[in-house]
Amino acid sequence: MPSGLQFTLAHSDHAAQFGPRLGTLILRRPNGCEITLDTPTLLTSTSRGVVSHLSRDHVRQSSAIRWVHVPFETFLEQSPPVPTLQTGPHPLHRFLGFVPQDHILSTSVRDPDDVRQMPPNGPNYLAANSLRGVRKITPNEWRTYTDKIQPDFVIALTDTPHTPPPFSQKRLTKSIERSSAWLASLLSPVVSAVTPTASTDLTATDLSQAPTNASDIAATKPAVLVHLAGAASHPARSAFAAALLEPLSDIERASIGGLPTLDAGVAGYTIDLAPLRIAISSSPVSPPASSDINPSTNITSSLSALLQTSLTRLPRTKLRLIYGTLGPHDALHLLRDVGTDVLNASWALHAAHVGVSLDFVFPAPTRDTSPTIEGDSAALQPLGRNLYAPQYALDFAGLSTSGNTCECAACAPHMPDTRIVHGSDASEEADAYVRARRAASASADQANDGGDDDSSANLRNPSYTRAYLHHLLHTHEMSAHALLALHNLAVAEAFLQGVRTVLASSGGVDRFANEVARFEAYYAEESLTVGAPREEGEKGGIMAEARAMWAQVELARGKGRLAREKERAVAGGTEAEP
Amino acid sequence: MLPTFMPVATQAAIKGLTPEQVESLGVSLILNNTYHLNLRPGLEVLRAAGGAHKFQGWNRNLLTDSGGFQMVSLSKFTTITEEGALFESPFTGEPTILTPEESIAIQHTIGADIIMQLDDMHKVSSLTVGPRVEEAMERSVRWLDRCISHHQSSGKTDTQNLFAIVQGGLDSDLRDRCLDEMIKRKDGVAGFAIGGLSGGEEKDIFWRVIRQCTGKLPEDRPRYSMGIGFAEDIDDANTEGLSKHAKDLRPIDDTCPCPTCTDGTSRAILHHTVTHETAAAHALTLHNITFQAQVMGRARTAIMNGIFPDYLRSFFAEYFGDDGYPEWCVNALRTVGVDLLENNNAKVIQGDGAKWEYAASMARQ
Repeated sequence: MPSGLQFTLAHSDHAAQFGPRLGTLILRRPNGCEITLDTPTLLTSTSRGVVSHLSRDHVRQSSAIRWVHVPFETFLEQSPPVPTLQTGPHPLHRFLGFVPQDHILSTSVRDPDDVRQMPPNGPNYLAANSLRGVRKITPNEWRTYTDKIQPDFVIALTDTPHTPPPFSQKRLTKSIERSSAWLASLLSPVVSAVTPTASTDLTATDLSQAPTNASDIAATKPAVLVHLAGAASHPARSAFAAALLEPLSDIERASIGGLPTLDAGVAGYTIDLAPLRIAISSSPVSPPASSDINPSTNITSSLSALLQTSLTRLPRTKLRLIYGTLGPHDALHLLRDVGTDVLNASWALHAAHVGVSLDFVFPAPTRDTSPTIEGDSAALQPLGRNLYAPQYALDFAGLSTSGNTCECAACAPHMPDTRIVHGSDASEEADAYVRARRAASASADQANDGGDDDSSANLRNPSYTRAYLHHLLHTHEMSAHALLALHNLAVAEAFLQGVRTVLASSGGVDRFANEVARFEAYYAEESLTVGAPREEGEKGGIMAEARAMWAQVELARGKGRLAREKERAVAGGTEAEP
Repeated sequence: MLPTFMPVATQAAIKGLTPEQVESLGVSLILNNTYHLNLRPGLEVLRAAGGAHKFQGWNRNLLTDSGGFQMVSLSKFTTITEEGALFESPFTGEPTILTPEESIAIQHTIGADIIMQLDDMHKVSSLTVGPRVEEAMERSVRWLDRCISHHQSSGKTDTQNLFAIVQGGLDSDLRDRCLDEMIKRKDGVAGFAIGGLSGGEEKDIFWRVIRQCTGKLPEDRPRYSMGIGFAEDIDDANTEGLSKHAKDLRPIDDTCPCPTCTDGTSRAILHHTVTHETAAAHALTLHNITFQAQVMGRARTAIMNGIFPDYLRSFFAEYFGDDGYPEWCVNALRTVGVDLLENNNAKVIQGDGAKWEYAASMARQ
């Protein structure tokens, strides 16, 4: 069995370059273990190498967390970066506690969501952000590091300008040249470290001409993804795609292990929406390269047009990874108008961070017959609940609207199978007592639910309630965010599962477009990310409301509270309590 | 099984963890604070939820305090009268009274397995001396009667267990009188707590009071020594300890059975994330709770096997090592026939000595 990566698109007869895609990604590890992901699939972002708010046992319990992206730049704080010191197989997995049998890891230098201004990149280095200031990283270093840490996917260095836009044509030309050169550097075989077989395997696989839409890539070297450069300029994006496809000279070929084109060495394409949005909003939109795409001032359709320009000539059979959607509406538009296989949902974690529990499904429920978040069933429904809001203090329902089943550790907490035994602790009697108590409560629940033939339900505790989460949020307890992160990621994954189910049905592509329209007519669109640019006239939804309440509790109970209270007391002339 | 370690879940949560995680660590008893739960979420919510067990999804044992201690230490203008503790409501600023009956009623609504009598705790410090201590001790006995009577008349004795709290400050005569009176009421209580300590007294006095009480309390009732601080806020200690470990790929303790250590979570990744990511706090909490439960578990095993003195000697050697043994521990254990310095040249240090912090042990590793 060939080790490596296989990506297969369903509907292979459906030749459209753009539009919703359904596929299967199989990663076979040299030891024979195999990870299969149905696409479009969810990518979970990390911060300093961890999924925000989640301990490792929680990460492993979450069936939504399968593809994890690790921005590497914070590790540049130490030299050499500490993950490169990790020994044994799958060093990055091991260092961060991800499981090679379950988790696909990708890595890039920068956090693709980070759009803060940065000093300019150089001709041979990228400026990265770390707590100890800006770090320069060269393409050579990046290749050395990623060869050592062995992620499953590595994103080549890309020259995205993080200086104030708009960008001159000269700047964009430089960006394209650097990005292609840096990709070539990542693709070039490492003379000392990599065995010749690895590069031979890579050469033997011509991704662009794979007849069955399947591509096999050696797994001994991480698969390479390339970011589609060119910012908000159609000509620049077009030029970058052309550079990827351009046949290489003999000398150039020799330097990258005999590949006919740069594109032949990559497993897929990534698109970072956050910097692209900034580029679009601060520069006049240049006309699209092809005449059948109408320019639009709307950011979402501008985005789609720009992505289409990049992808129009690139082989459609390769993976597409889009980073930085603002919420489910945005994701649906990109799925429908461009087509992507991997989507990140930082918004699920952002929402968890400010106390919002997501509650939406795809396809959207049928109006009039389904329970709703807001009483008026004709109104557009919010995407979730701001659990800080006072109406949840006495709301003992679970996090999802009844009818939306969620299997996350907040809605259906797993009773622990085992527990640590500390010396002599009469564990058997205590455990027997708890089991009896649970059996009693489980049978009571079954009686209430009118019977539940799923016997595994006995292993779950009752759902955490909105009232409990409301309490945890107002008392500044971190457990709230752990539970919400688990829940929101599960909602995002279930949403993509809904997308896949619609696409797999007969007439799936047409049905999908109808379901997107129904979703838009059912749920109010709202940016779920923190710090995303607000569009003109945007009303404050659940996120804005939650952020304000989160800030109040943070001020009242967060770090520095005692100092602030003391200041107030001193200012007020009374002494602070000891 | 006793003795046991009881982590504090003041506001119905062990910081950052879910109840399932806490249970998986082998914890079987946690503490909720009555004063806090009474403020948030409040009794209306707890009543509607069916009690604090259900509210926080905790299937094992739960203990609540009387609410009095936090009231005295956190509220302004608290006055103790015979009727109860008078304080300013944090909501309305109105004068509010917490009576023994009210404390028990609140704890009934919370529904913990073990509940505490309201006692008259002299303000803030256990260093107070003089007639006020005597008055407080005597009042605590009278309030115990009111608590027992309210507890029995409300029919909760089958599901909730009331503990008395022995008062008497640092005065051994007062302690004795309190012990005598409260032991007389043994049939009305399920256990005894030793209160009025850990308020800033010297450790050398602290252990003598504990010794006096345990010497008298009946064998067939559990004892709860209140306010024994395993340091609760050990994040800072850990942060300090971890600063030396930026490139250290070993776990905190490779013999520790906690999820953090058994997974091989390195000191390096903890160093990288601590103070920046809540996930790092969770990893440390998982470890620290397990560590403390392990200490108690090993103590139980040693007691069962009749080798507790040996256990103490090896624990002190491992834990305090070259940093020196606190003198008060050496003295305290001598009175129960354990000589920590037997066959050991350990340094003995004066004063209250090392605390339950991990910085020292982390730095040594």
